[in-house]
Amino acid sequence: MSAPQLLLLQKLRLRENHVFFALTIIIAVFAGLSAVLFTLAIKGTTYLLFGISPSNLRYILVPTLMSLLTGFLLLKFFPEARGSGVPQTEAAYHLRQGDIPGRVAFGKFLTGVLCIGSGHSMGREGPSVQIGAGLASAIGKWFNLSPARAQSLVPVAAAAALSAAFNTPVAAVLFALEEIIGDMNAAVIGSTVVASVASVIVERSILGNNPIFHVPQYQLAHPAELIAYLVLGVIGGILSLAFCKGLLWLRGVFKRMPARTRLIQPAMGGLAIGVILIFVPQVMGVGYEFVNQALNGGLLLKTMALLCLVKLVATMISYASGNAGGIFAPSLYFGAMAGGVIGTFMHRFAPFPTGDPGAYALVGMGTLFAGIIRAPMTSVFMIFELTQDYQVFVPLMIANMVSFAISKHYQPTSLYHALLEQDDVHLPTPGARMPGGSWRALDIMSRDFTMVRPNATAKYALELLEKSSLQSLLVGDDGLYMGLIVRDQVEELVNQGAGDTPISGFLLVEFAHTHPDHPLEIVLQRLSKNPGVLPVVSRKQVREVLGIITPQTVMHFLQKTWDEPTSGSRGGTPN
Amino acid sequence: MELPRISRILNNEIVLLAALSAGAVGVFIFTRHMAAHERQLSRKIAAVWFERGVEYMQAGETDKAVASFRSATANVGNDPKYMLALANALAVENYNQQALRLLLRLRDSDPENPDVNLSLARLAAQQGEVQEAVRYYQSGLYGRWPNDRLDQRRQVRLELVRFLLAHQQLYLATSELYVLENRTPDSVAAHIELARLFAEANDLPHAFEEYVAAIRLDGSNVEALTAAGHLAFQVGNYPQAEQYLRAAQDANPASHETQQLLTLTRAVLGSDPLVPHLTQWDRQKRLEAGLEVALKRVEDCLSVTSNRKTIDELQSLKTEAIRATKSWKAKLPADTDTVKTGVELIFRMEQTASGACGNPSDRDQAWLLIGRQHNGERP
Repeated sequence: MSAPQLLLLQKLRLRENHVFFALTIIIAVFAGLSAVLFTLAIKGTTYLLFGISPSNLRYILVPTLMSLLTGFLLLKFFPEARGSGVPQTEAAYHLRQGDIPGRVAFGKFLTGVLCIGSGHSMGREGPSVQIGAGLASAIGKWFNLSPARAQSLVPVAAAAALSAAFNTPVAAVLFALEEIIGDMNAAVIGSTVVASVASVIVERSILGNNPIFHVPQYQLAHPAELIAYLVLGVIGGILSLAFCKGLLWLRGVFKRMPARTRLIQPAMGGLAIGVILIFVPQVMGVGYEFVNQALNGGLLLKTMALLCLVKLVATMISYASGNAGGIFAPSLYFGAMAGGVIGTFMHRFAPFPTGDPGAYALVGMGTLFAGIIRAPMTSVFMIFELTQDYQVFVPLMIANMVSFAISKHYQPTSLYHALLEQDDVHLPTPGARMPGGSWRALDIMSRDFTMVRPNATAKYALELLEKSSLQSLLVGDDGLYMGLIVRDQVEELVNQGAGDTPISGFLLVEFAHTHPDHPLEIVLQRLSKNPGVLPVVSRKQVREVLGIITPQTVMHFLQKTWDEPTSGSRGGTPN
Repeated sequence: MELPRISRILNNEIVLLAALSAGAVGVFIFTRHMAAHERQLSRKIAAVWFERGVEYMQAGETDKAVASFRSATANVGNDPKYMLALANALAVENYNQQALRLLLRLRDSDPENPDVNLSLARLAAQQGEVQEAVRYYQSGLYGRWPNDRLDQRRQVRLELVRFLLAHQQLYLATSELYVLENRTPDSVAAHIELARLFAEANDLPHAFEEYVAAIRLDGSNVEALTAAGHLAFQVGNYPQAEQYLRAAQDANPASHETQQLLTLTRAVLGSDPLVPHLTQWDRQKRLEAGLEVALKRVEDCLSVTSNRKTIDELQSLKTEAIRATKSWKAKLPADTDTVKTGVELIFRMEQTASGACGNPSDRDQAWLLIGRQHNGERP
């Protein structure tokens, strides 16, 4: 190529805005295609592994052996690909500026297809979101986009992937804003809308303009039915709570198992799923075909009740044992079955006319989604997109809000965030992102702190406490803290003549911590709960202490700030 | 060209975007191909499940059939054939609400589908909802029937007629039978079937016509001959009754019932003084013979009954008969009005005796029939 030609090419170099817009569409197409391919691959794998009517032996062997293989892959090559993919995508967006390693998308596709295709009771939407976000991150890196731009590609791809996987473009946009970004007023709203539409066009041009569910026409037969929807909300809330608590408990059990068992943990889950499949094969995989039947009144009351409970347990096992797959589809499955049960019951026994049980199944889907995923707006619009009927709004909002409130009251942290917290990753809460907090823990904290080892004696700890004039000391090893030791307790030990006792037996493990992005309001609130010291820990690894905050450091920071109003990382006195 | 320059070209956004776009087109084509393959596979799996479901249905294992049809619909979610099969299997298993919902959904998408309407009609019929059943039967009958299924449509109308008859909707049944009459193939079986239904609907003349049509095609058909004879007898057409019953008796001499009815028919024909083409003397003779039979019946009855009211009534009739006999003998031969009055008297005597003393003999039965016929009553 000659020099003038190269010059022309240089002139044609696009500005970042244009590149971003073009990338939005291209990423949407790739995310949509990956979601469709993921769906097709799961179906093909299921057929390949199980055939048309598998034997009991096959039901046992397929999920067990496949989980052994995926367990190996997940442990050795793709550790980030475990579970849903939505929390991981959120973590990447909030904590790593949207950076997702290139292998994650491939690993998630491969392990997701093998896990869900081998019968695990898991959903395809969460993995689709992570695959799409992974592709977006890889493409963003290829184009050397600025960190902020690269970060914004993550929710764009998530919306596109979900739009293609679930065929509800509006709900996909809301999900990206409500769940991934956590801000309904995010600046990327335009890009997510474009991506969602582009992706759904791709999906429909391949799979046809068929809705994922054939929903019954919604009708409210009598105003008293709203009470029935209230009951559905209460039951939905209880079921959501049971699922969240049960999943977190079971996952905790698996996590507490010895590290050497991590390779076989997915296979343990696979074996349990195999046993379940022998008796209730309807809980296999995503299960939308049975949701469809519940929506259209093709299932019996007892069948729906059974499927609801068994699917709940099966999903807990599949997810908690460390397989790759989501909880989006299972939550809709439980919801449809629970709603179908209540609808059929009401249809038979309510003293007032009631609508079709399928309508309850439909509202039930939204109810459980709101209770488990904790994205109530997404839930309402998702069901609205499925029905395209305004009449569904009021019952849906009643049931959703009741379920959401119950679930949130008894399990304040959303499931996705709680799952991350089990992995010692703490995402910023909306409170942590409050705009009024211009002074952050990062500005206030002191990086000068001492961490005493757990095998240190009480006498040594007291010496350190006296030197530092602190009320408590951080105790930990290899830079990761384990707990606090309080001055009063150490003094008591020394006074009793037990100064040589190791402090590891007297650690305070239940105490508050803060993150660098927390505003002063949260810092003060949490500091008041602790014995004189508030550790500031990383969000990516909550045991990693970045600094400490004491009443003295706060006073020192305030004095410094008021003396020098323009100093500090964000500077200035708040209004 | 030196390497940095090549690298610059490759890193140009336009080149990268073009490469990505080309890649997207390639992946799109691949995905479309995969989707087509998957659809084909799903259809294949669904067809296997459907076949299994049909086999289970035929073997009477409807619970397994339900599961198989469910799997078929799960693989090809919106296929009306599989959904209809599932709904029908659910209905057989008495899961009527589930079946109804599936069928209503199918009807929403194709209101003129005869099979769906027919299944809905059968379901409503099973649940005793007559009006709903009739509505769906009629929707099915007036739906879109392919030309190669017209006989099936006729069968559905027959089913509707049977349903209407079973629920005493005789008027509606007759209307449907009139429609059927014009569309019935000209075969013995079809005419006989229609005749039976007309008879059930109490439209005896049409039933008789259909039996006669069947006899025209097969003059030795015992069922048609017997039924035609019976119907002719029932409507009081004794000459035709005798003709068909005789033929039926010839074709099936072992039939005791036909023999009995034939004897009674012959007794009616041989006793009735008002049949055409008789001389006045013959009428007189038959009337006297009839009166003799009736008097004997009254006397026999008087000898066994103890009911005062009946005895008084029979005595009064006997006196009237004796007085009438004397009156007739005074002006022989009796004119037609006298014969009619005599027939009416005999009928009253036979009727009262039958009411008080039970089953009459063939001759008494014949006079009862003659009396009823000339009184304008159906025999």
